[in-house]
Amino acid sequence: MADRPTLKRSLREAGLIVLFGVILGFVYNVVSPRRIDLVRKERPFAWSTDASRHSTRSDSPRPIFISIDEALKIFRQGNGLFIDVRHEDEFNEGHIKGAISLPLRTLETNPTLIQGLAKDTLIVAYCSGEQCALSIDLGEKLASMGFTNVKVFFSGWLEWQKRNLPIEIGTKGNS
Amino acid sequence: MNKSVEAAISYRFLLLAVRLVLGFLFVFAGVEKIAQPEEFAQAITNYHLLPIITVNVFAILLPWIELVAGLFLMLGLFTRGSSLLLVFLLCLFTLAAATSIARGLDISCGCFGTASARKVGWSALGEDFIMLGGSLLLYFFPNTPVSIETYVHRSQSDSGANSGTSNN
Repeated sequence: MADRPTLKRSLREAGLIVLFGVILGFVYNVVSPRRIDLVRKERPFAWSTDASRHSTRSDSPRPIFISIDEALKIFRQGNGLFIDVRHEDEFNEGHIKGAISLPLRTLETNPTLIQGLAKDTLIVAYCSGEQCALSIDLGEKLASMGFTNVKVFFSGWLEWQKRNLPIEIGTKGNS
Repeated sequence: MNKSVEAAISYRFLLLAVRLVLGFLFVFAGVEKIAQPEEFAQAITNYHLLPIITVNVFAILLPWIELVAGLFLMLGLFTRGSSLLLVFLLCLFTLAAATSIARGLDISCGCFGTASARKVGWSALGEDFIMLGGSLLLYFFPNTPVSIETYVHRSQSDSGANSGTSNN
């Protein structure tokens, strides 16, 4: 059984492993093409209900956050394209009616999926809910690709489900 | 007492299986996260447990620590040290999963990277507990077959150079 000197030695070994991991981690993060900043930046939030409210109507270069009410309005009017950014499996389990599936990675590997769209298409990106930032990533990505009318429905799927709004189950969209 | 305990835990090959499976899981988890650092950082952020400025450092280092610990475990080198480290990490993961369930968070687990869309929940918590049990077992019974450590011990005791090890 483990006694005190054994524990001490084990702690030393564990410390050595951590040290190896730390060195490798930092070195890899310097040379990796997918390196990330050492300090994470908070995302700038721009809610449509903020001072930038009016930009929900006009063309906006940056994605605008919309509430569920606004998302629902767009849904009812039927003039927006809902994009589900979650994993395809989650999409297949259920998604906002009429939405297409476009996980971020798919967009990176196969951008042709949305290249046919007019740049001023009203796009509503959403993912699982406020704990998920993929919709923001997609919104920013689309904005950087020149889409001018991108909204991020931040409370997303969770809120949509809670309100029992129309959903669909099964595959559709990019596949 | 020691004799009977050791006899009871003479399932050395079961311990070997635990060691290899646990080591492989951590190597796998590490590699998956290393491949997608930004996604893993986001997964950590979603837990809302760490100050945001520390998240990226955590996301850069944790997968490599998991990978190295898993490798050492598979090789059977520093078995006690790596299983102790796993115990510590798994306690953290268990706490994170438990508080997320308690807070009702609907977030991706990030446990084995973000390639799988799995949510944090009871199954993740259960896995953590099982792995925690395995790591504790290995910490207390680190002498398993096919490991560098036992090989070294054996050659040391064969030559009679060192009799001071507490493991055997």
